Amino acid sequence: MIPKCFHCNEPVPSGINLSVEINHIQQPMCCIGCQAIAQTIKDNGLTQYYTVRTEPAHKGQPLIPEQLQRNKLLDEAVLQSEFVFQSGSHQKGNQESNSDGIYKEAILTIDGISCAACAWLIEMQIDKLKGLVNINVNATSQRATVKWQDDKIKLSDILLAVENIGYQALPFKANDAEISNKKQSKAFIKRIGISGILMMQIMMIAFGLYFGAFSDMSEYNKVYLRWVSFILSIPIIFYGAFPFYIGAIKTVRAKRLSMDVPVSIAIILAFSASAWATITQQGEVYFESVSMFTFLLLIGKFLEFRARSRAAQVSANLLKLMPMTAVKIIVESNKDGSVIQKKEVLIAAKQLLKDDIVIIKPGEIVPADGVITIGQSQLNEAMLSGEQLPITKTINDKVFAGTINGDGNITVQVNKASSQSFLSQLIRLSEQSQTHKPKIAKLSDKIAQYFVAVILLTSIATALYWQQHMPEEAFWITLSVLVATCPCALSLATPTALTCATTRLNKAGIMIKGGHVMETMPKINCFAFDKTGTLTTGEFTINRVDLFSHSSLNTNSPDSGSIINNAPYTKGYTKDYTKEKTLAIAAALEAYSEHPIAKSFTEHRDYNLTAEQVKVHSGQGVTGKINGINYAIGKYSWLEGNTPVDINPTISATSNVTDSNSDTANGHTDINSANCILTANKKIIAAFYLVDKIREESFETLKVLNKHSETLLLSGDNQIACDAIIKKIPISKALGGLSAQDKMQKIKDAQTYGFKVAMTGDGVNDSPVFGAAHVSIAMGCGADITKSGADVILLNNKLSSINTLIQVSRRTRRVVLQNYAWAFGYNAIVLPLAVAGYITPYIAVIGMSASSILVITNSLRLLKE
Amino acid sequence: MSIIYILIPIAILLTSLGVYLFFWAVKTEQFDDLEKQGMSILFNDEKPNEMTKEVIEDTENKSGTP
Repeated sequence: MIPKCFHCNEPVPSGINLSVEINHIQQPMCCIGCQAIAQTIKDNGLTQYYTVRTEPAHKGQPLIPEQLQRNKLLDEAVLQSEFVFQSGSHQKGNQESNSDGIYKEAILTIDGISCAACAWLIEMQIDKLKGLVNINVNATSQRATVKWQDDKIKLSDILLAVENIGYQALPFKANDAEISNKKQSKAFIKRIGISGILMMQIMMIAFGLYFGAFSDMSEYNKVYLRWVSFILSIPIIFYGAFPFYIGAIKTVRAKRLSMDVPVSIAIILAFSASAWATITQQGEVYFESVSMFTFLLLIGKFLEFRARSRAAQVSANLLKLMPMTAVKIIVESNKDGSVIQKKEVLIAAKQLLKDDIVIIKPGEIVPADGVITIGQSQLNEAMLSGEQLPITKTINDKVFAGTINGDGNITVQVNKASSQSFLSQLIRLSEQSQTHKPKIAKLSDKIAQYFVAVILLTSIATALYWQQHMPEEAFWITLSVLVATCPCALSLATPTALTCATTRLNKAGIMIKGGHVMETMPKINCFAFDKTGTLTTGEFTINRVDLFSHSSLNTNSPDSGSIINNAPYTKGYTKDYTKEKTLAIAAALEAYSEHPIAKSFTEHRDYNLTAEQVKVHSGQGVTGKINGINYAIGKYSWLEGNTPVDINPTISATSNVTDSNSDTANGHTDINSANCILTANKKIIAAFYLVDKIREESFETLKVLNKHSETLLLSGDNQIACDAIIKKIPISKALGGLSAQDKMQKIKDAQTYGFKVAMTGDGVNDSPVFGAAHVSIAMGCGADITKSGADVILLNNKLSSINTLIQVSRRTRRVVLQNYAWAFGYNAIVLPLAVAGYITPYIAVIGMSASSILVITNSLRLLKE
Repeated sequence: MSIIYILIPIAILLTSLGVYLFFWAVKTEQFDDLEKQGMSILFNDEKPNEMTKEVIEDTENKSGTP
């Protein structure tokens, strides 16, 4: 059995021997990152975390110096003004010393919280810092509120302390919508609480009254009990039920009808009638019915509200505030124009203007669109184009904001202010398309319109009829009609089902953000996909390894023969190099490289092999010494130019690493097309062919999707790459070479043919496309902007989640329809009885409650797998 | 029956106390994060005394994998 990392529960790779003693037991660790975190946790006496946690932690990442540097920038006052509140505790000033009085406050989003124990761990760790006033971590929203004294501790130190225990913290600014949501949520809880507590009291008294009706309770006792319930129900009616009145007034003003209208009428009528009966001491009281009615409806409304605000919160978390910074060069000159000195100043990228000169160092993000004036480098434009391979750019080439500088220093002249950059334009395009989103009208809204009209008309007709025949009973019968036909079950039908379905999907790693998703999803009959990062992982994997034999090696090889250490290997040369061995050697060398291709070797790493004298040749390859042999790995063209390699080696073995991708012809000898070549003492020993790996579940997922719907591939990559994909995955149509606008057009075209389209993607270039689709699905690993524009986020990065989503949404639709059927059926039976005067208000309430409970129970079925 | 003239006002007083406490709990954001608060009982106080520490370690040694 492979030992698992105690910290993150991932298998420990071979050759790694790290451990930390936790509670007197040596626990295995899978990497230096995890070890460092576990050690920090132990040193701080927080090992309780491991006993209490319910989920394993995320894999530890070693701290990157650049990240720390960027955190330091957050201490700058210019940047802090965006997210920090300066607070002072004036009231408490007397007890505390003056220096404690003033502190700064900020909200942080924290990545990597997997269970409630994490919140405890972070609070404990941060609380120890000197100068920290207070920290409160919310495990549900994955945010923390910190208060600190700026003269004693810097924000970057706090962020560092959080990173030391394996979480990533970044400042965050809550938007207005969210602040008002929070207030509303508190008000809702208060209303529900007060209605619930008082309802119980009123129910208790009502029982006294019910029994009093059968036994001979004296009249003055009854009067007393009625008055008590009257007083107790006042807060429910005037405070608890308030949202219904507001809702009713709003819709009536808009000349429409909603469930709130009959609800408000029923509450007000029943309460005033009961109050009148109490005061005049004649007639019946129904305080218990009104309060229970209000309480149940409030719960339904709250559930709906909570589902909505939670989705808003998660999407807000995605918009982390990492202020982009830029190093601007200011040239100070004399009056006659001669340059005195150049100064480098750090400013926020927002403040950059046209024609400013900025320096961009390796690994930094380009702050604005511009043209390179000095230097050359490789830039990763994955976030714009989805293409992972860096592009080499030199003087006079354009660079775009948001792309990442590779390994060279470049000086760039800004040609557009950051608000007009290509990136901001993409974001704006995506926002615009969101507002034009095609919508399928909500079923519940349509039903409510007609249903409410029917209820109101029936009640009026009933009132008029009984007014003619039995004036003294007319009021109570009308009230019974209103209460009995109360759309309580009806109004619970959708929100309860949606809440349960959303919870169920959340557990499966699918985040629902758009409110319409569950209703629209079953109607979708065309699925469009992006290629890189969606159908494929966006990471390179080794597809094929060619091993080369050098038959005449020990006789005519002057290069290798000159090295003494090589002697034992000269005989039977190739037999020593198996596929595994070459991969391990390559991995040992590539571990030093930051190039995207290097990552693909990591899984083959054998930690028993270590490379010495490693030299990374930027953009070319890596050389190094392992066990005394000089190895080099890199592009064929580079190695060829550098060393007199054996030009005509014979391939001894070709092996495919991943069988599913075995489309390349065996015996392929054109090593020029290999992505990299490994040489040992200047002899080619292996050639590696890499491909963008197709996600494991792509095939299965699309096979299932194809049964019921069209599938489309929309890619920015060239047509050849798309055609290659179509051979491996069953997809109906593949279109390559599309820009974001083209993709949008393709989706709109499909919609004109009557298709309901769902788009799945991950890159920034997909975000405008999302607006055009009926349902947009983003991969969890995608760009933040993409995720914030999407309706659904697949947090687990599994394409198969789409099938789960379809299944659950179909079941949800079924449950909602069942709920409606029951609510209508019940009303259809009870309405004639109530109109005929056979039902008293309290029987109506019991019936209503029973039907509500039935609806809730039915919805709960959705929680099951 | 006259007992209800005393008991019900007492009940109302207790109810209003309950409502007050509930509002206080909402105001101090105790309902914001139900997950964390539910878990908090499982953690010892900041400085666990030796007794509880040993108990935890004991149970761990028993249940932990060798």
